[in-house]
Amino acid sequence: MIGIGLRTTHFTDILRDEPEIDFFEAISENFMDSGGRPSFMLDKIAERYPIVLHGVSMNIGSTDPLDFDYLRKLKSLSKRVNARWLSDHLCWTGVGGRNTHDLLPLPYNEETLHHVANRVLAVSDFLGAPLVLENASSYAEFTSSSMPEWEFLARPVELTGCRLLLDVNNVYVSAYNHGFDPKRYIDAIPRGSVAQYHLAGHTNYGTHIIDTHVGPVIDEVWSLYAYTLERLGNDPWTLLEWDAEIPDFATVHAEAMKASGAPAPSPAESIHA
Amino acid sequence: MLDRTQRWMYSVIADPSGPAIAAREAERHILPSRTLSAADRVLIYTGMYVSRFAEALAADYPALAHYLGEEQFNDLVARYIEKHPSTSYTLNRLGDALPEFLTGFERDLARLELAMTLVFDEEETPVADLTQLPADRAESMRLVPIRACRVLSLNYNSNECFQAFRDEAPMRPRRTKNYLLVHRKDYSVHRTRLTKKAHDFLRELGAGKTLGDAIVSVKPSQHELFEWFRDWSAAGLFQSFGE
Repeated sequence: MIGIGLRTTHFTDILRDEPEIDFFEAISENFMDSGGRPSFMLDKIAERYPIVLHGVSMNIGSTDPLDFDYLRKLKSLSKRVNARWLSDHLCWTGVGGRNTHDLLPLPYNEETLHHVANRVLAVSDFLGAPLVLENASSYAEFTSSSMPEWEFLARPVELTGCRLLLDVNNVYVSAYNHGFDPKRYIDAIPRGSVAQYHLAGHTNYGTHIIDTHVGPVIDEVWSLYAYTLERLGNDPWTLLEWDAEIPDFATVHAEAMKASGAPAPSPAESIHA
Repeated sequence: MLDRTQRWMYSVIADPSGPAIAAREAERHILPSRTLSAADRVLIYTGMYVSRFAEALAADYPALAHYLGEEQFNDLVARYIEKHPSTSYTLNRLGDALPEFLTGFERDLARLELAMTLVFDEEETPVADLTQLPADRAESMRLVPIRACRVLSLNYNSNECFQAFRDEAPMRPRRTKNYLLVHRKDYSVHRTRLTKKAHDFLRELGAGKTLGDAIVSVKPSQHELFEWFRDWSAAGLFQSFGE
């Protein structure tokens, strides 16, 4: 199953042309509080395509209390569009009642892990469905971390029964920024735990990479995606995100469809090499 | 420990003294990479903080952002979010206090753009058929406007300037009292000039006055009433009526 991140600039093309695509992913917060055109369009698109909801503001890793007003609206939106699942990021976005609207990294240690696991259980219970957690890209690592990110991502699956949204581009970005082997990350993800993959472009500044979701997916990420499919299977749905300098729908669609024929890992990169 | 770490990182990101805090304390919290120091790494997040809000506010206030230019608009956003940091899961309402943060033409233009954003996002409401208004009891009726509707009293030619922005023409602000209806129909936002009387009449109805009381208060002519209701009925401006 191959999908595209739903963006307002493409609404008209999608409803007019009904392109061949397996599903759309909508950013939850863009539709929770709008009763205007975006909501109307989402409802129309949900009549024709499966929808998954992807959030950026659950703040699951924060020490602030969970926002049940937000969760109520999320649950209602999910029911309205018959979302196949709800995902958000394994991160925090704000503290002390303030929101940075950024996906901020967590210290990877037992304290954080248990804090997050308890909140994932509370959210899943409230939503009546297992939460799907995505690995966020990061630009900084904490001195208080005591385990690698891949372990920190995999452990909540055991502790809470949640599923994962494995962002292959984010694995690549974080591997570049923190100097680890991205394949080691993929190897640590339990097979069967992944509901969805993400692919996207990014911006390389030389000293570090920022996850900008701009431009096409680079070859190295396609190669890592092929490796991921080999290790974790192609049952999870794959989604292309394109959020900056968004081109016409046909270009985004063509980029997404490359996932249906993702190249096999080159011999030098293959796990069998 | 986690709470302390998050509050520290928030202060580095959002506090104007963030870079100084990072320079002093980053190594205690953040590991360096092979290419960046601990402070440089955490300051990546600081660098994106204002620009993220500037991008969000420029989407809601495109004409104001254009009028001020990038540097001045970003400076405005930095000052604004220091006073009005986001406290919500959504960025949609972040800019609601921006007009009150401004003066003169900029405030007037921001009020217009805020009204347009609010109207764009409002919940859809049904539209009443005004031909069903009972003629014998019309004066005792209260007409309820649709939610996606705002009535503005402006002090500058902000609507003209907004149109100039849309048309990629120069904005030429000048002081002039004028009145505007901003409403949504078929999911499109419309801006319509109003006379002062029409503005006052809609204000009275919006405040819950009966048609009769609004007529007594504003004193429109029969011709004005006919034209208003013809236009407002076509615009689908009322969601219901009743005594």
